[in-house]
Amino acid sequence: MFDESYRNNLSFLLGKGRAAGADFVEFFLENRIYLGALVENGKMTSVSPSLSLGAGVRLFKGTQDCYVSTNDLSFSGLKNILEKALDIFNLKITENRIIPDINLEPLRDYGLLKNKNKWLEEKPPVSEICETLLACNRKQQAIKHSHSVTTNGFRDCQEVLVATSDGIFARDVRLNQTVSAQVMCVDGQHRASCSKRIGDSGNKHFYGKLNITSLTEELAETAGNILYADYVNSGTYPVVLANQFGGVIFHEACGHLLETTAVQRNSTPFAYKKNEKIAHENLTAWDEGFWENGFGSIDMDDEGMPAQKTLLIENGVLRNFLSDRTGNLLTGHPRTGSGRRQNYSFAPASRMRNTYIAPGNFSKDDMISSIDHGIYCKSLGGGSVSSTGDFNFAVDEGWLIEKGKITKPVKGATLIGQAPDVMQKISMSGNDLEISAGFCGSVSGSIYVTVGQPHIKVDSITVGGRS
Amino acid sequence: MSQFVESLKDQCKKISQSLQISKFDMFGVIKEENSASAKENKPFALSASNKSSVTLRVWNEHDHMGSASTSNLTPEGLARAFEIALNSTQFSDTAKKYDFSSLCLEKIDYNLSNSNCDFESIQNLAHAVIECEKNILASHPSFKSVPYNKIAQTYFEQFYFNSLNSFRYQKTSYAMCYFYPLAHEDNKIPRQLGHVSLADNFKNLNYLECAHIAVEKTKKYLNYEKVTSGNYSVLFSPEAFLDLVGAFSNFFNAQNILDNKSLCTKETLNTQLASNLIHICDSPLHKDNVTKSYFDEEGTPTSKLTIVENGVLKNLIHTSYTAKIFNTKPTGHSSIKGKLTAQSHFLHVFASKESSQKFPIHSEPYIYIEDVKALHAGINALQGSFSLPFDGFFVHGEKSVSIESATVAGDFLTLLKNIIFVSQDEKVTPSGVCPEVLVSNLSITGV
Repeated sequence: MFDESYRNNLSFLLGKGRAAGADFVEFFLENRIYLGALVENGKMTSVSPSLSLGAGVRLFKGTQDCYVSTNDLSFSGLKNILEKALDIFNLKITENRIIPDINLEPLRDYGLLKNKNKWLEEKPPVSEICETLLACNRKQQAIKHSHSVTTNGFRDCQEVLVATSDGIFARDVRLNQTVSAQVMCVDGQHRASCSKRIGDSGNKHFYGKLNITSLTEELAETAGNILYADYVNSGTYPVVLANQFGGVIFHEACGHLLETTAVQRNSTPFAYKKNEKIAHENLTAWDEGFWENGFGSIDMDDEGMPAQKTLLIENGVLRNFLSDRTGNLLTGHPRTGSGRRQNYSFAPASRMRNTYIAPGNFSKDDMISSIDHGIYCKSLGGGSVSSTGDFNFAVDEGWLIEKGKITKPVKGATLIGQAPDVMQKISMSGNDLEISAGFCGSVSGSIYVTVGQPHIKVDSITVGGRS
Repeated sequence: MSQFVESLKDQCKKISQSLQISKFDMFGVIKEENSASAKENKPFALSASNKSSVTLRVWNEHDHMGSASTSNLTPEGLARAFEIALNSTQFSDTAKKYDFSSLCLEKIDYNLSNSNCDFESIQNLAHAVIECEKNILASHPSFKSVPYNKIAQTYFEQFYFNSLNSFRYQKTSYAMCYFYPLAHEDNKIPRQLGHVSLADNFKNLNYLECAHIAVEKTKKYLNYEKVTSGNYSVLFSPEAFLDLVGAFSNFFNAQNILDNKSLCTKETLNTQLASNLIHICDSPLHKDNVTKSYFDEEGTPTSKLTIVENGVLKNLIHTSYTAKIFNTKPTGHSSIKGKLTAQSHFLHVFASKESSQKFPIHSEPYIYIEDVKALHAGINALQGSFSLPFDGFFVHGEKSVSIESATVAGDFLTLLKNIIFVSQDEKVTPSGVCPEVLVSNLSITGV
């Protein structure tokens, strides 16, 4: 475990780095115990434990930064990566001068403060995980017309230590767990596959208390609905997006574009819009560092900053960007505790955590009944956004809305559009906010996030489908 | 062979003896990488890493297999990995008998001509990427920035050994660059396309040409029009077609077939799956594959494999386990991290003799798809359907204009059957070799 014993070496190396001429030096140490398991068609087909140990050092010189990583956590290993990083800026460690150590804060240990060290100390409950996945898989096999069923899950326990030349010395322990259930149904020429995921953080009893009945019932319902569904006709429609994972629309169409990572790369249309109206006045959105058991929750970010609750958009007006240390340096936006990374081999970048659209006053029925001909997107898949602001995401389970009523299921829809455009068209927010676990890939790798929203109505959006 | 791998072998031998493990194997990678990006004529996101990781498989006294991966390659870290792998044998699927590859002791003819390249300094990579960024920004007034750009050089060693004394080792290097300039003209939507280049080392990497291609590609998209939704013939670029084949690779993956997660079944073998105009091979040792692997993660030698011949599914990619079930030989496609499964290396798509020399469309309009995007969201590999945003052109006679924004949707197996032309001109891309491929009757939705 990382503890006070690392103080002297890190303080010494940080001092060496500063004395060599770096403006800022940061060490990030990581220890990870991961256990993945896979059940297919009633059989346990893989149990995959993985142990990972590594460190990275980041230097700033002026507005430039560099990052060097290694698996070698010995003193000489850490010194090597520091020398390599300094060498990138043509700097050298001075051996003959007396270098003052960096005065690090007393170890800010969230593992200790929040009683999380036990997650590292205890053995992963392999039997419990396997039994839960097997039980879930058996229920999936009972889904009508199921042809192939898969259940996978993981327990990921990560310990990190951050030490910086401006005195941060902080440690965190994180526990993320998830279960994903997938079914492919086949009946003659009809084929449909769909999946559902549940995930949370910091919950030791996640597997023991998992509601697999509810998970598999939802899966069965979606599979049954889309197996015989027609493909959606392409066109431009008003749509209602369901709560929970529907929040992926905000994540893709807006959230990524509010990260300073996008601002500093000049790849967001919102770069100079702070305090300007960028969305419909009915839209307010937040990104929270800590949401009890939220899949994207962190007590501190990967730069050692305590997690913040950040108001992104207030009644349509852009209030804040998500900023990390580099973003702060290059764009001036204040840090928000959003510096995150997949693991030690990535430098941190400003990333989302638990992101959601705030609840409004409308009910789902208000939204459906306001539409003459449109689509209800009940279950959504993944999506993406490009530097041009073009976003897209897949609809796993859609329904036609005809004359204010939900009528028949449709499949094969993709929603596409321009982010600045669609943000103006989210005209109704429901009163039923729910969140959901997801994965987000970007410049600093794949990280755990939460997306969320109440039901929302988008006045018009292009739906890609079959002509 | 590096001393490190030699000492790893010795340590594994000692640990396995101390834990009374008589059967084990290990696949590992040692990787060193330097990379640099540019932002406003300055170095940006300079990065270096050296990383080692291994995946270990052990068999217990009942011949049940367990595995573990670790990047902690100290003696203590390795011992822990052995213990965890041994513990995980109790959860193994006892109905499946995993074993070493039957070809793990076969002789391999390595060509290690690419094993002693110079490793370029980050400063030199930074100079090169800054030069490219400058060229791009100077090439056209619409280019305001190059949000995604990078030059990287990677050196890696990979190895496999087992308790039968099989030993495989190779070292390779490659260099890579990409540039995605963002073009923005007044009162128009921003446009961004890019290009990726790969070479065996930095000296052979034509990064200036890569930047130039990215510029020329993006410039073609500055003027755009909306496309009317409807069904069109679609000409896929080599890159776009390879992306689609890769995304639906479950159709030739034996493990996916055994798991009922393939678009094909055992019975599909030797039947007409696609138009007879097309051949598809996996060609790991193709001369243009700069990241060639001479062996897979079970130590099986790699070699060229015909997958589709004249549209007929001829072979599947196999691991040692699937090969046994299908009563054939492993094909060198094993991946052992997580579940043992198969994966392709470097696809080679080409025209069969039946394919016409002449492009069959003369008067009616068609769509040219240069890049398909968001594959992770728009592909349903089990269902066989796709609905993907793309960058491309509406082509009608002499007219060719870029499309503002659109998606292409269809079913993959139907797409394979609806191939009506495969060009004779093949293009080398980072993920394989492929010509342009024309498919009839795909659904296009314009924004």
